[in-house]
Amino acid sequence: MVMQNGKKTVVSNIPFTIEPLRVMREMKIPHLKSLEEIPEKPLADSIRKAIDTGYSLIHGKGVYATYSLSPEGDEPDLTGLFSGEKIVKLMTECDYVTLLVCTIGPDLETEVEKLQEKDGMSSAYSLEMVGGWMADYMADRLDERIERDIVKAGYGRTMRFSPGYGSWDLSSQPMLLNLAGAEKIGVALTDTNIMIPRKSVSAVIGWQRKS
Amino acid sequence: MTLLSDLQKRIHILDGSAGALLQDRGLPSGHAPDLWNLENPQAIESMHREYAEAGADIVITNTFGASRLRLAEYGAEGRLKDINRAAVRLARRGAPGRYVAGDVGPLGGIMAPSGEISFDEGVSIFREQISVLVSEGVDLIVIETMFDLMEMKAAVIAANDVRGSIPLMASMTFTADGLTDTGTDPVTAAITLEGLQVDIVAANCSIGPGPMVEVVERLATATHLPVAVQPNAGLPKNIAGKTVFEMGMGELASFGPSFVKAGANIVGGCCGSTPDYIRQIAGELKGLKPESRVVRTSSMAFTSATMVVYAGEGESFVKVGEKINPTGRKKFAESIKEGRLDMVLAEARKQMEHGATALDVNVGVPMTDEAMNMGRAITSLQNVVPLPLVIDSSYVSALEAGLQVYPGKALVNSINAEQERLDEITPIIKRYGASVIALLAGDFIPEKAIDRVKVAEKILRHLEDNGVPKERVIFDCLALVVSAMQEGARQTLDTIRMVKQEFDAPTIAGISNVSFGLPERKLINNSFLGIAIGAGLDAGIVNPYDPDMTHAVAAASLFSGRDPSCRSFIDMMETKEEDSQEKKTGPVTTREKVNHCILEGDKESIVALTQQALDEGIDAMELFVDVMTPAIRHLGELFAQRKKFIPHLVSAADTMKRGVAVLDPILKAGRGGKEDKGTIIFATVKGDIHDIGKNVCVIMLENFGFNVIDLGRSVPMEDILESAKENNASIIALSALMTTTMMQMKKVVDEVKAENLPCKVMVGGAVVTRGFAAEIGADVYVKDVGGVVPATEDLMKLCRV
Repeated sequence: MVMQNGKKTVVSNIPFTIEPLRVMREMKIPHLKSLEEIPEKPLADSIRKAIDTGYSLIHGKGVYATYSLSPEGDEPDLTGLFSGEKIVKLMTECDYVTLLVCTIGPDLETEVEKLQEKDGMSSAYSLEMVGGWMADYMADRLDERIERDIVKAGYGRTMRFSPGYGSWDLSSQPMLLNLAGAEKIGVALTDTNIMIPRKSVSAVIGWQRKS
Repeated sequence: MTLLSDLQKRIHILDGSAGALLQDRGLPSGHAPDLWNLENPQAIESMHREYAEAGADIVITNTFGASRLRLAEYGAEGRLKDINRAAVRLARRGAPGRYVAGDVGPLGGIMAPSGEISFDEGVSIFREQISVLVSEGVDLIVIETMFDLMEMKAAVIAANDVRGSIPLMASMTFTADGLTDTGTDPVTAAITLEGLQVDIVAANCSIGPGPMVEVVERLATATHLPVAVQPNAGLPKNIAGKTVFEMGMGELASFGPSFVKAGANIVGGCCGSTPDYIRQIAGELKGLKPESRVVRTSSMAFTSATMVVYAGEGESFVKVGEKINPTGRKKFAESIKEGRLDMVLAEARKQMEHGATALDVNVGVPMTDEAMNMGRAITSLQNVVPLPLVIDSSYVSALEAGLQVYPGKALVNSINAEQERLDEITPIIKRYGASVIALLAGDFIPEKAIDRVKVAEKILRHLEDNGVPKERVIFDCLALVVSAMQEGARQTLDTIRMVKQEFDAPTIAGISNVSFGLPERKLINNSFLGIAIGAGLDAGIVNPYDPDMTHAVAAASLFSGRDPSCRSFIDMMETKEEDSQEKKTGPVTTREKVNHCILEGDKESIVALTQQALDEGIDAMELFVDVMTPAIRHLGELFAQRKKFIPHLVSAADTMKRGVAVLDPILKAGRGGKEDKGTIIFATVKGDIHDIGKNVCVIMLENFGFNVIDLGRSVPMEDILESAKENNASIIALSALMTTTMMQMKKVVDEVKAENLPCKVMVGGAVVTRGFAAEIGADVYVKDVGGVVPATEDLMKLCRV
């Protein structure tokens, strides 16, 4: 065994940077390379303010756990977790799988709601866009940490794969979140298997045998 | 003979991996190697013997995972003492005459603020193991394979609590990019570890030997301490469930001389290396002596987890941002009192953007828990700024709370000559390896420079006598208010010169207060700053937002040996923003201004401008139809041409909404209001909680005069249909962001058809496509916000037909 099966590791206070250029691209503003190049000053100011606000509302957290795909004894059987041709095929090449969930927390979403009420849609929209890619950003940071564990154990890694990609159904979300330990970082599911806070990511990374 | 003095004379050889070797001897996969100290002592003893015979000067005990949490994974935490004791004895027996190093690995969990293990808990766990190793008489403690500087700090502090004079080696693990997993570079690690008073800094594991040469080189240029290195035998590969390192012993050993040349005093092996590898390394390095090193000399350095700031002669002037401070700032103080950190974080980022090289952090607000606030602030600040922090408080508890969550070598603000303050603060400076600002005052501020120097002597003597070396001290020479005491300024400048002369130590001063009570304060501050830099001032607590301050520092640095070849000054002036653009011709009439305001998305000005237009007698309907609507329609055209984008539409729509709110009461009162353009029921479908796109569409449609009834998100089909019937709606507009919820759209379409309702159905949202819309029988598909108004207008025409 190369790691503790099912041990849930929580990572809090994930450092982050909100890149204005990335926010602009998220808002589908192409070509321009900085906020200073946006000719409409109020719009640039609104994005700038949203970035400032984002820094105090984003609280990156993640949790992950690794499981053997050939469980022994009372180790959980992950057979029911994967559905859809691509993910099932990918997992046949792996000995282990790391399940991960991360979030930027609920504060940004709450503020977006408030802004829609009191300050108008443009402020809310800018803040929503600032938060738009930050859950993925946090997932990338977690991903780096997991990848190092994988490499250290002499394995290759698969791509990060989430329920909802391809034909992997969202109905696997409850099992994934439970096994990853999502409750430790305050991520839950609606009855339609959407994560709350909305700015959250759930995914798996396989520990792939090297050819 | 002691190990540390020996290290200066010849290269020492450390042993190699235990795991691979023990697995070859039957250690089952998944079984803790540490347990074999009790279960199979012969194997452990013979391993040490083989390493000693191979040429290892230092053997490391088999205790990498013999700490509480790690052993608990195997239910063996109750045998911690026995396992560690046995390990030391076996190493002694197996390798007589060699140095025995007590090995300490990571905790087996993540430390706060990133993880769940508190600093105190971490220290306690490490101390429990290290005290056993110490009591068994190890010659050296090795803390190794640490990728988190915070965890290393806890381990070192634990070791310092119990090790007495036993040397301590602290070894971080760097990845291929030359940084630890948490982003610490070798220089920052070396400076922080030196501050924590370790005896040897080191790198081990993770990468093969090639990239580690540069890591060693960087460690060696940052500290005079001995450097050790233990590379893996290349990169691992998992073959048939077993981790294999494929680099041969000859190849690994061939890097030995490069390590020595880079500055290593100790060379060994990590994962994948065996006694045969160590034999080759020992052979390769036989007779070699440590190279002399060129270490960056500087009076003082402090760090974050990822950055170093040097203060001293010839270094860049250190600009410590002063803005995280509630003194005299009501809103800022209020935010801290409410437990909010938004203003703290905003000031931090803003100061960094304005060129601050470090940030002073003071969160002292009366009637608040300053220690808790300091801990929270220091934790959060590290998430958003990489700059080193200056932890500033009158309370020792607040200083300690900040230091406990700060992985780097902090600068503490401040200590002074009051005996009580000296006695309280010195131990925590020492314990957490911090640097400190020494305020040249005691119970009072001495008037004369000569007396301030005496105060400096007293503070320095106390610090040095209690284990804080001079290299961790920067003296605040006290810049006083010039309007109250003009002679005081001269004494400050004399103090700067004398402190540098007497102690060869760096100096700092708070600048902004010198001008208190006078006009043109910035001019006075910056003039004083220039003169003080000329006198030798190395750092200032300054207002980074003042561009004249930046220029004053840059210019004064030219005359004080801080800007070789004037390069920084020239670069700064070359990149200085030149606002040479001609002022654009703006809108002239109020109508033009309202139109322009919407195009620009200037929601702050629209209300006043709309009111101004009404006051000038412009008809409300004319404003709506001929001024505002054309503006947003024009923007829509520009959007279609990909000259403007969604944020422009949102911003303009939001602005227009505010303008229309001014017009609405007038429009409703006269001539029956706006034209009835039809009713739209808008909803995000059941199960879907994403609604911002829908909300933007609603505003766009309202601005164009449509009557929009927004039912919100996750709306059941029944509610949508009921509302459509009740309001005689022409269009049902549905939004969905998830593939799993978009099928709800089909249900609505089917039911509209089944009931033969006189409604058209419009669908859109991130996952919805034109093909899907056609497949489910929707009347129209809207790709994005830009398309919603034209699509609605077209659909309304059909409704009327």
